[in-house]
Order: sequence, then structure tokens, then C-alpha cells
Amino acid sequence: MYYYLICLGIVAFYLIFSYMLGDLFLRLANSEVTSASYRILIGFFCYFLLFQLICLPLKFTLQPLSLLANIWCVALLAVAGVYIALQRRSFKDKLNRCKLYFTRQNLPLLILCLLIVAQLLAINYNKETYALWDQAYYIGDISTSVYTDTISQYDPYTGILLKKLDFEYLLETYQNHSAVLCRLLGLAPLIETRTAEAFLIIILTNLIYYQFGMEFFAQSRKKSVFLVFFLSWLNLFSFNLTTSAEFLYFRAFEGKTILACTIMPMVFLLFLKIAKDQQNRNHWITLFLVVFGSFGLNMSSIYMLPFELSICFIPLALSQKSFSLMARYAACLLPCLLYGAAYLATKHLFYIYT
Amino acid sequence: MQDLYGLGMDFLNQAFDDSFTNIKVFFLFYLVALAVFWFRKNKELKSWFVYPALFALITVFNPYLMVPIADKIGLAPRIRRIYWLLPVNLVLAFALVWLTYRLTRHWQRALFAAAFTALIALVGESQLSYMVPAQNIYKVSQETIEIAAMIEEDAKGNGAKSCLYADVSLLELRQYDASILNTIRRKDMTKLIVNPADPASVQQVLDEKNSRRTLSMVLYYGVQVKPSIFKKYAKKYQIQYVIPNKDKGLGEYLELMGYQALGETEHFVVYKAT
Repeated sequence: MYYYLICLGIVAFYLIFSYMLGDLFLRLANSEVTSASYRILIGFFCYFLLFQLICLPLKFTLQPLSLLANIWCVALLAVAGVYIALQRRSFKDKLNRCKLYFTRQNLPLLILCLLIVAQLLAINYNKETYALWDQAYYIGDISTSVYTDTISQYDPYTGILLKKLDFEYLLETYQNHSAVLCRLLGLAPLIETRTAEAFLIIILTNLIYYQFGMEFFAQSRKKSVFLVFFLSWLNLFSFNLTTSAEFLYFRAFEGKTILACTIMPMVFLLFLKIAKDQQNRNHWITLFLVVFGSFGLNMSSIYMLPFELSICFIPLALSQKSFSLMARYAACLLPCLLYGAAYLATKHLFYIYT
Repeated sequence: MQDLYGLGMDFLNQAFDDSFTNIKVFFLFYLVALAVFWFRKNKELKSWFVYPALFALITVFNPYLMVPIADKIGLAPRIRRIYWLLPVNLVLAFALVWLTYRLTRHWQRALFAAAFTALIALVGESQLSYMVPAQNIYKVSQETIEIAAMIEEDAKGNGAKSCLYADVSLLELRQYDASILNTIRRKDMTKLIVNPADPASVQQVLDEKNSRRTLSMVLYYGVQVKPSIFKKYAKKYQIQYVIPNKDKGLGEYLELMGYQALGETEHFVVYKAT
């Protein structure tokens, strides 16, 4: 029970910091969006982009994990401080809006929560991942980093020091973040990943589904919750080797699942928003942020996002005969090119020897 | 050109099977939904769902285009998840909600939703039936915890423990306790194909004089190489514990070389080097 409480605490911590960062981001972008779930989703990408910016230099220079953990604590305190300083005047407004929302929308909200809880119970019930090698890499990397107080310098399968850092996961910092949490909380990596991270991804995925509903059905909460129900139900009956639904139910803690169930749907959500309102700069800035923040979560974003951006935005630009749309799409591809080049360079040209 | 097409189609078919073998009906419904959106002449639905799918068909799912590019940038094995690009379940869920709300009466909506909920359950493949109940909060097998405890108790917390194991289910060991090191690397296990009944196949591995591959062959296939060879390699890696699967029948072989059984679980025995 104690460990479950810690895991729920980690989820709450993620949601709070994601909300704060999302709120700050929307304030900077002068957005009028009021949705809390949308803030959490954007904030999640801000959170991991920030972590990536701090982690990568320390990873490349072979610094200890404890140093990263300390610096990350300071960064989170700074985020909280900035948030309180900038947003304290709106606390009362937010509280009132929250109260109003809970009193007016209690039934859809309750159903949404029940749907999410049902999925959390399902993944918590299950131990099988059907991905023993992948799991051994991801969780093994975290447990080895915590044990050796290093950042991904050891082979997760053997525990032996690598000659050079693994280029396949060099730019990915999601596992390093889990290692930081395990280090700070003294929590076993298996519990942090398979319970806390898995819970978080299930919640975020459902929040994206809810946002899809809000986008499709003109902000109707009832229809949005209905969409979440049907999507969850379809996912529950979509077992196959590589469906995103299978990843969600069996390997929710993996970076690949974040790509399939959070990053790609988030990009699609922003595509829907842009298709509806192409002139809104905020959606483009948010899309750029999501693309930029995704590589630290999973490096497969480097090739999947250009595909997704292209199949969404090229037809849109062609059908609208819009050059500016094409130019903005190209701008969103820049981070993919940048990270793609970094991936190829660290694979073929520059190695980081331990 | 023909080869390229064949290669591309093989790849796309394999990726399709990996994604939809059990839920081909969902994919069919998705295509029907796209066709309906197309014929409804709704501009928004077309630009959300139909145009991206059509564009994907001539680019990402084009056998002449995708595989050569993937090969060129060294991503061919990863591209197999390209069907994630098609929002099949999202389109179906959208269509179901949209259809439900076209009905005016509550009872009609409830009936429609219930019917489709049942249909999905009927034609889909349930994830629940593939789930295995977790026995502990770590979501690993009890054997993993028992083996780690045996080693820990024997080593009395004295730093890293050098072990030798080659069973895939023991990959959980390092996730549970990172102080347990394994001599066998991933490539030693995944790339080693030996026919233990064929002396030539075994000899071929021995001739390579690759210590890790030889040790993998012993632990994974149960091939009993000369004790002197095993001892030499075990010494090279300073192996303290050997964890064979009971099925491999290595008990007597290891005991003759002086290994002492520390304890056993349902499938494994933990031996300690003396």
C-alpha cells in the first residue's frame, strides 16, 4: 500500500508540475484556452524538454546521476517559484473556475475518472509485457544508473561499463528522469516504471482522447467522455503485436508507448486545431514545442514525426493552397532534422567514450 | 524495380500483420468510415481523416518509396511500426459517437451504443485474455525475487555479484537488483544459433574461441563443453554464481567442476563457485 501511495504521489507531482508549466507556457503565448487537461498535456512536453536541456550536457560529460538529481531539484524549485510569482494573482480565479466546473460537470467528470481508474486497475493487474528484451533495457538502464550513480554509462543487460555511450538512446532522457526520481525517492525502478510511469501515461492518453472529443464535438463534454469510452473499449479489444493499444495496456512505461499514445496523438490533436484555425500562431508554437520535447521521450520520434507531420500538413497545405502553412510545417520539421542529424553524427562520427 | 516492389510489399504486409492480424475487422471498418467521410462531401472530415490517409498511401505506404529510404537511413527494423500513423481506433470511436448522436431518443442511443460495444467485444481481440496477474508490486516473477535474495544472502551485500545466466526469463534479475551482473550480453544470446545434437554445430562455436558465446551455449542449450574450457572462461570473468535452468540438466556437470548448489526455485538452481 505504501508503494502505491508513493506512486500516486509521483503521478500527482507530474500532473501538478505539468499543469504549472503548461499554464506558464500558455501565458507566455497569450493563449485564452482555459482547459486544465490541455495545460497538463502541454506542460508534460515542457517538463521533459526542460529536463532534456539539463540532462543532456551532464550525460555527455559523464557526470554522476546524483548531480543531475540535485540540479533537477533546483530547477523544479525554480519552476514552482516562477509559477507562484507570476500566477499567484490568478489563483482565486482558477479556484472559482475549478469549483464551478466540478459542480456543473460532475457526471461527465465522474465517468471520465471511472474510465481512467478501470484502465489503471487493468494495467496494475497485469505483469506480462511480451517485450522481455526491451523491458530489460529500459528498466535495466534505470536500475543500473541508480546503482552506479551514473547516467546510462553501463550495459543494462550485463551491468558492465560501456566503452562508449549507446547512440541508440543517447538523446533519450526519459529513462534518466526515472532514474532521478528513483534516486531522490529511494524507490525501486521496477515500481517507479511499471506502476507510477504506467499510470501517468494512461492518464495522459485519456486526457488526449478527451481533448479529441472536445475538438470533434464543439466542446461538448458529454460527447467527449463518450468518445473516451469508445476509444478505451476499442483499445481493450485491439490486442495485436504492434498496435498502440497493445503498447498502452502492456508496456505503458516505455518511451515507445509515449510516442504511440501521447506524442503522435498530441501532434494529431494540434493538426486538428490548426486545420480549424490556421491563423492561430499559438497552435503552431505548441506544435513546435511538442515536436521539440518529444525526442527526449523517445528517439523514434526522429523518424515518426516527420512522417506524421507530412501526411497531415502537406495535404492540408495543398488543399488550402497555402504557402504560409507549408512554411510553418517546414519550421516544425526543423527539430526533427536537427535531432536526426545529431543521431546520425553520434552513430557514425562522434562517440562519447566512457 | 520488381524486386523493390516485392521487398516493399513484403515489408508492408509483415507490418500490417503485426498490427492488424487479430483486428482486421477494425481496419475494414476504418476504411468504410473513410469512404463514408469521402462521399459525405464534408470538407472538415476529409481534411482531418481522408486526405492524410490518402497521402500516406502514396508516400509512407508506398512500397517503392519507404523501404529504400528506411534502408538508406538505417531504420528499416524500426519502420515496422508505421501503422501507428493511421488513427484507426480514433476514427472508429469518432464515427460511433457521431452515429449515436444522430439518433434523437435516449433509448435509441443507449441501444445503439450497447450494440456496438458488444460488436467490438465480439470481433476484437481482448487484451485482458493475454494479461497475467502480477504476483508482487515489482511485477516480476517470484522466482526472480527468490534468486536475488539467495545471492544477496550469500554475498552479504558485498558489492556487485558476477553471475552467469542465459535464460530470457532471468532478464528481470538486473531490473530487480542491479548489483547482479551477467556475463552474457544480449548479442551472445540472440545471435547464437546452435543445434546441440549436431557435433559440427557445437564444434563451430568452440572453434570461434569466443568465451561468451561458449558460455552462452552451455547455459542456453545445455551443451556440456570440456570442464577445462568452462573453468577457464568462468575464471576469465570471475563468475561467482551460475544460474542454469533445471531443464538443461547441468547440475551434475557443474557440481563435478566444484560448484556448490546454494538453493533452487521452481525452474532454476543457483550454484556458487567455490
